[in-house]
Amino acid sequence: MIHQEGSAISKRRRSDHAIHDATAAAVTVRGLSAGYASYPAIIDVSFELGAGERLAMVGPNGAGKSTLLKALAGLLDPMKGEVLIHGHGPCRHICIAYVPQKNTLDWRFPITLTDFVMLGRTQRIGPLRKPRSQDHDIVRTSLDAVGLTVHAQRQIGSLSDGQQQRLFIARALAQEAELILFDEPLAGLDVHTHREVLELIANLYRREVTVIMSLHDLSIAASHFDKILLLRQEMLGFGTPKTVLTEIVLKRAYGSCLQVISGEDGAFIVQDTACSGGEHENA
Amino acid sequence: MLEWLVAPLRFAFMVRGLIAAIAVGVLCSAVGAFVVLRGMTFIGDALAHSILPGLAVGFISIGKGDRRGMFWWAMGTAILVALGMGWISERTRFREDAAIGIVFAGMFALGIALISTVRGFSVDLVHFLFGNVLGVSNHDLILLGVFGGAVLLLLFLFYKELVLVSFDITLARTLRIRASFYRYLLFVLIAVTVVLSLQTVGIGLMLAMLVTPASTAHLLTKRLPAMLMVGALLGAIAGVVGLYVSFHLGVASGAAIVLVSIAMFLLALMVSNFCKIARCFHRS
Repeated sequence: MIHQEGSAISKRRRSDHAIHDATAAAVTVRGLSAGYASYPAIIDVSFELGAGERLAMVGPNGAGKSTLLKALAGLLDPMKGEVLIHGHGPCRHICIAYVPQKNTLDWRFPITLTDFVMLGRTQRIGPLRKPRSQDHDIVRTSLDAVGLTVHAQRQIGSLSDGQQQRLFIARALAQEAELILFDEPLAGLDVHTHREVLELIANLYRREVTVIMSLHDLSIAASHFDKILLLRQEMLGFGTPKTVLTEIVLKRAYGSCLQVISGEDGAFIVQDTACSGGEHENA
Repeated sequence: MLEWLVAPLRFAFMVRGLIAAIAVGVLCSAVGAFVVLRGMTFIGDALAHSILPGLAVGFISIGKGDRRGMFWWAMGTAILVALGMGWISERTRFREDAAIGIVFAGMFALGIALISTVRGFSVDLVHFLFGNVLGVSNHDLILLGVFGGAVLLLLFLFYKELVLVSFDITLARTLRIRASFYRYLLFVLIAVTVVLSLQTVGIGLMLAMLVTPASTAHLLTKRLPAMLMVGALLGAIAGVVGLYVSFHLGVASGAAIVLVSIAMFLLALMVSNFCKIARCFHRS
């Protein structure tokens, strides 16, 4: 697998980066509070994830999902508590891929899909060096893995929303990421495209890549993920979908914004109307 | 025809002017590609005005008439100002253009305040801000060669990282690349380019050369390396053609170069739109 070969090479070349502690969990969060200025957006969050597990992060708008993802990526320093990725703080890792919410990039930028994916290898190539043939190979394999090879030489602006998400996944693969953080990748995508993206994420599972994704659709969270973290500033629940998605816990997270319809075998269909943050109110 | 081409070369000032125009054309277009793509075309104007207090202090301390000394004052001030702009946009929630605007306004006002205390300064200042491509000295050409060469070399060496921080700074941070270092580097490269161009070709031409060839190249290419190459080529062509036009038609040299480069932009705009329309017809 490209993933493992590459890691071995980069460990030899760049010893200044954290070497993974095999005995530690992929993600360990202890008593984490984080936010902007002096106002914490999340308070006292603690959980642990094994390598290759897929975690769905749910909660109303403004619950602190993006803040938690940034803290995990090492883009935001904790106010209290700690984040450990494979036994070390996130800031020394180059194996964390962070996919921000849509449209933070200028898609008219004159780079092709290949160039875009190659950006993920910048650190592994190293300063003052050009991409070597193995870098080109990894970029090609990564684009192939998400089915974008035919468009490899096109400028990135011509992609659909779903293809953009696939491109981000390809870049994470080229980065040899072992933890991928997605901030609402499904927002604004149609149902068909949801399926495409979720299938790719199922493939990541086979590569033992840990995935943490924030999303709004609770039924997708329940059906496609190993664990669910329910967040509303504090962590209201963490565990398998069955243990977390109970009516009492969900009511605490969403209040009256949630529609819960109890089924016969204890399962239920739920919908997050996401009204507490205000951004959907006009919709 | 041959006579038409050779005639200007009999004059040493024309030869120096051509060399300067080509060098500035290449330098500005290459650096300009990053300026255009980051949406900070305003920075050229801002930097040019922000060096005013540096020029004023230089003037007061070394006396008037020393143009060589003024160059170093301008360069030092521009680099400090560029670092200041980078610092403000990084440490605060302001976007880059707001940070540039704040520093621009503050420094320009400080410059005016300093100048108002000294008489007889304005004439020398005008010379500096409105350099003339036909009045370039050998000393200017050497400075242009050394500093311009250094800028292009750094751009080439750190190309990969500069593209990354310009396009996706969040990725740069998660890859633990020293994103701020490369951002500051880019600001400094722009500052050096602005001062070099200012001194040789003046503020109006510098602004045009920083933005126009790079934008023209953006229309014609889909990859950044190609955009840099095409932009540099277009910048050089605009310089040469502009000077020939200026020589034979008696038009002001700076204006001629700007007009040629604008004409190339309009032509590229038409070509790229024509291609789009043609493609639409082809599909349907």
